[in-house]
Amino acid sequence: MQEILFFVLAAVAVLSALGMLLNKNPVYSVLLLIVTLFSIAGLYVLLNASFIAAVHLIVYAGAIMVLFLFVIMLLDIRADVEHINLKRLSRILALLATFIFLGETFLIIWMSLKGKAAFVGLGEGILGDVPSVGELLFTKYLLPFEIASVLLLVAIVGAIILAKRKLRPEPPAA
Amino acid sequence: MTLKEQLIARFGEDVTPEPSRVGDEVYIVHRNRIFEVCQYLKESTNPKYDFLMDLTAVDYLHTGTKPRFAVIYQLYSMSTHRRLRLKAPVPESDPILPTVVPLWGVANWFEREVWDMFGIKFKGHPDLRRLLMYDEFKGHPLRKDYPFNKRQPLVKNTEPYEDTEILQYLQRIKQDEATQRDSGPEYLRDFLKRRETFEGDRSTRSFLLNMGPSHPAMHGVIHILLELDGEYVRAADLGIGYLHRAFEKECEVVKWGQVFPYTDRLNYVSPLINNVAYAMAVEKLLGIEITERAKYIRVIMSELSRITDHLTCIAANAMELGAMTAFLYFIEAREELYNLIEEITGARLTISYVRIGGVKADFTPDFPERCTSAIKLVREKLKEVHKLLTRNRIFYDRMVGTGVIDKDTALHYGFTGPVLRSTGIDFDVRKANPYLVYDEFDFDVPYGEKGDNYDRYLCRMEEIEQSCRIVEQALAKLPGGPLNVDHEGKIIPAHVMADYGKFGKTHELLQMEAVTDPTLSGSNAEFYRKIYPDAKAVVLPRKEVTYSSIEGMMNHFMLVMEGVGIAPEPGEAYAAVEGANGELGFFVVSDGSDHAYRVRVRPPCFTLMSGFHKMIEGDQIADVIATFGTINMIAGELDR
Amino acid sequence: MQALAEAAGKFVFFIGLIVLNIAAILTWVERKQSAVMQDRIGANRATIFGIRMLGMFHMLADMLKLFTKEFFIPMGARRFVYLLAPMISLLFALVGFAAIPFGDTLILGGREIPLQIANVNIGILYIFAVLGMAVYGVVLGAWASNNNYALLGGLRASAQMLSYEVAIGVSLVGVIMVYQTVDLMEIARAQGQLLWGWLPQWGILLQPLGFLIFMTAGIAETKRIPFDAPEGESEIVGYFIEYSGMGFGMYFLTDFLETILIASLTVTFFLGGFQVPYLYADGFHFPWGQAILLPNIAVAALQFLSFLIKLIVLLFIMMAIRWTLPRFRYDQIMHLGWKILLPASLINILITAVVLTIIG
Repeated sequence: MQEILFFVLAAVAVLSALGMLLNKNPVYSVLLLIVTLFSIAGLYVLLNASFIAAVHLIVYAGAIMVLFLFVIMLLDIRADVEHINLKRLSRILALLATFIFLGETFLIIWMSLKGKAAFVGLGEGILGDVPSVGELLFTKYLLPFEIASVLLLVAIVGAIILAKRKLRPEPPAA
Repeated sequence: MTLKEQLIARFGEDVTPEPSRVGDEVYIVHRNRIFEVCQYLKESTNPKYDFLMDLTAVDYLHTGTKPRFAVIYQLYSMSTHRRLRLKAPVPESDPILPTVVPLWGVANWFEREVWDMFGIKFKGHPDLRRLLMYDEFKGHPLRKDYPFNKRQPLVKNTEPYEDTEILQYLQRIKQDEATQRDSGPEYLRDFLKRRETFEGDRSTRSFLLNMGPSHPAMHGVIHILLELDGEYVRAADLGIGYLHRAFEKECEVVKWGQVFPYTDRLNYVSPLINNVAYAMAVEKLLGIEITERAKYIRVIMSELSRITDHLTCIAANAMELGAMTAFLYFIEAREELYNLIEEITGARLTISYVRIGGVKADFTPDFPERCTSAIKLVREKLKEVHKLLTRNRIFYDRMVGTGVIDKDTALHYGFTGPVLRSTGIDFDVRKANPYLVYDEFDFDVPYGEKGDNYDRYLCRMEEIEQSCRIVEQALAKLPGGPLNVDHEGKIIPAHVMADYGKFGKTHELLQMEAVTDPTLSGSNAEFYRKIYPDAKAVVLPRKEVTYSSIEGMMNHFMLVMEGVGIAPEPGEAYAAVEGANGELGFFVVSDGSDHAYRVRVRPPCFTLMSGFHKMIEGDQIADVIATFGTINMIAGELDR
Repeated sequence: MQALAEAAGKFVFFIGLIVLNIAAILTWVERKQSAVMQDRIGANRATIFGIRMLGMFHMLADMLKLFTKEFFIPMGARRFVYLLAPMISLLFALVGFAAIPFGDTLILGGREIPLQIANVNIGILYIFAVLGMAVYGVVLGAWASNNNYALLGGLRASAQMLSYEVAIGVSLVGVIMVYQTVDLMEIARAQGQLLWGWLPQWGILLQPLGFLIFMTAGIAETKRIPFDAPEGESEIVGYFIEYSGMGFGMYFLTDFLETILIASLTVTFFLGGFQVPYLYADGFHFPWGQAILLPNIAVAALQFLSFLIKLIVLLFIMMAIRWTLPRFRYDQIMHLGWKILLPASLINILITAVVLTIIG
């Protein structure tokens, strides 16, 4: 039962991710990405990490993808579908990310071929419920947690400054 | 120095006073100097005529007056409450004269309408498009040589608005960049300029939204083209005329007395006031004074109408903001008033109650009692809605600071009525130029200070209360006596004169002089001492008299026959009343026949809508609805 | 297999029989209640063989009308998304009810059946996820309609729902802190306990501020007056401007379902859920020592009835609010959400934390 579910969810995740990349209409891409997120959430549930699954859905599907849709709908996509003009820096970054991803995939396959687990499993129940996650966050991973919080705060402030830049009064002409 | 001396000293031959037999102050101005004369009157004369009340034209083709057209400017002095009429004759061969738009913003629409209706061009007008008729219309319908029953296909172009006008314009610009940029309508030029600056910025770009003509909040039918920056309105252009029924043209083909049903359909929320205004204009032209009782009845019915109008306005406004309950409370009160009106006039909406020389029917015996209870209900509902809305935080936040217009802009755009009063100017025709018997009542004119939606709302709420007061006082004072000026009346010597004439006792007339009540029309009262005896018989005799006596029947016959009947001497008159939305004026021209030669109505909504874009620019889409609601536009009188 | 049948049975009972019927009746209540409020007679024209039943048949007439009307797809609409959007909307409004406990345990034929369709141990988070998904139906429908008004409505809706989800989430943190769980069944059970031996430990008593914030944000989440800027029937007509027939019907139903969902959540978190004061698994135990013992089936029935009554009273209040207040403007909604409700709910957390620390 579990295995069937796993393969179905995995297949849906991979196929919809491919669809997202290959689709020309950004709105359909977003929709397919949401399908991917749902199937990954399903995988989390299979791993007994229902907390992660829920948070995953709330944050990514419930908030971030809505904002994606928001932005795409505001752009005049009918005219601009064809012109995806990447700057040089973005191209280099994209290339880099591809290499990292390929490297990780290779590592996983190679390790499992050698009979070792690539990553240590978290074991049953540890990520499953809220108290254990909370406890880990406030004890073992306190520093990363706080750093992440500060990082998010900085990002929020930065976003506000970028958005509000235009509202500042123009400097008087010399 | 009198005004006449000032004008003649400044402009010499180019300004000549025209004698008016009804007592209006009229000057004929050479068309090329009209702008200078207007500017001089607006800025330098004493008193200053600083307010453009109306601008229209008359086609004198059939009267033989040369030149063929005259453009009429009705000016008003806000400080002394005096009226002045300028006439600028325009020949058919070269129908063009300078624009006055730089002086008064409202002239923009007025001049567009004159161009639309008469084909008279205005040099220097920023945007001389058709206003009431559609762009494909051929000819100018109010010209006398345009047959009143001529039909034209209504719509040729079926493309959506945005896709034709603006896109075609963009296309043209692309083809010939340098020369075309500055042509085309002003609002499109501005739009493109703004759009260019956006694109340079690359971060945002505005988009266009057609609000109306089919939109739930555009009661009546009106089209607002909004240029939006997100939720904010950057610019707006209004399209009107969707309810144009050729009111002014139709008035020219019916007899004087048959115009009343058409006036019902102008401001259909307060039709009685329209009736009264038209009757007053014609009575002024005829030179008759109506009986005291009829005056009181007219006042009472006008004020009831004003209450229904304000109730409807506030109710609809609340409903559009989502407060459905307040809407129904007011509609309940209005329903009671409609029942009352129905009892007296026989109809709820299209009442045709007023007659030249009086009114159709007297009050029923239980009217005062029912009226008092109706007013009690109105006050009750007023209190309830005050509780529901006035200090409701959401309502307050929606209304305060939205749709703001300042004093100067309001005057510039010819605003009158509650919208002008909300800016802090207490101009009310009932106080400024008392007509009928308004000077006998004790009532206040509420005015605001900020000119926002909330002030307008409060002004209307208070005006309902003040109208209730007037009705109560009028009911208490209601005099007896005959209702109409007819051959039984002994009230007014002028009328007795007509009676004697009708019975063939003309020898007595020579010894008599008619004396009239000086309050009839404020500043123009002395005119009424001059009476034209042959125009006296204007009111249909009562049915009993018609059926039972030969005199009555002949009288009736003579009044309804084609070619005879009510026929004022040739002349022109302007009479104004305080409509629910502002000054409602009728300018009537007679050529001596039994048909009106020209009936021009000055609809209060028209000027309000011509300045509407000033009120919504910078606000949000949701505020457009709130502002539109407090304006109380009635498409019936806007589009006529 | 038996578990599946049990879940299906509960689904048919709770969602099919109770929730959908309440939604249908709510359309009638909305008309009739407003009629009473506004001195009108109200809906009473639809009759079957002369029987009026206070206009109840209008529900049937409405449904018939919506089902038989043409489902019109406007020119330029994205067909697939346009068809899908109302279904998404309806789906997420319905699945939320799976986590609502409408009674404690019912013992039938020796089986203990928890009266909750799906016993999700992360209940609150599940609810958040479902509420978060609800915006998709709106946004996609708006976008697919190819209409500027719909687009404006969709933008307003997405911004509004995102903002108020934050306020809802943060306002519930207080509840989680007080009851020490995110499981809705556990929260409902915890509210059966007594404070100082006599006061039922309902959420509204422990978290009064949280209750107000949750109710306000919840009404905003349902996009009804005074928070109906995305709809704004007299302004932009709304994200469903192009929908007709059953497409509109689904959005319409979603509106009422969301109202019920928010009301049942409020009942669960703050009004003691299915709890009747002093009623325990075996009957009433009053603080003054008296006890009335009841069979399990009667207890379950009483609990369910209590849930239903609380729900209906709350719905009635929400309707009264809907007919009393005018509509907020879009920016005022944002202002209220971010600058008033969110700080207030943060303060609520702080107060709760301080009090809990002091009490220990």
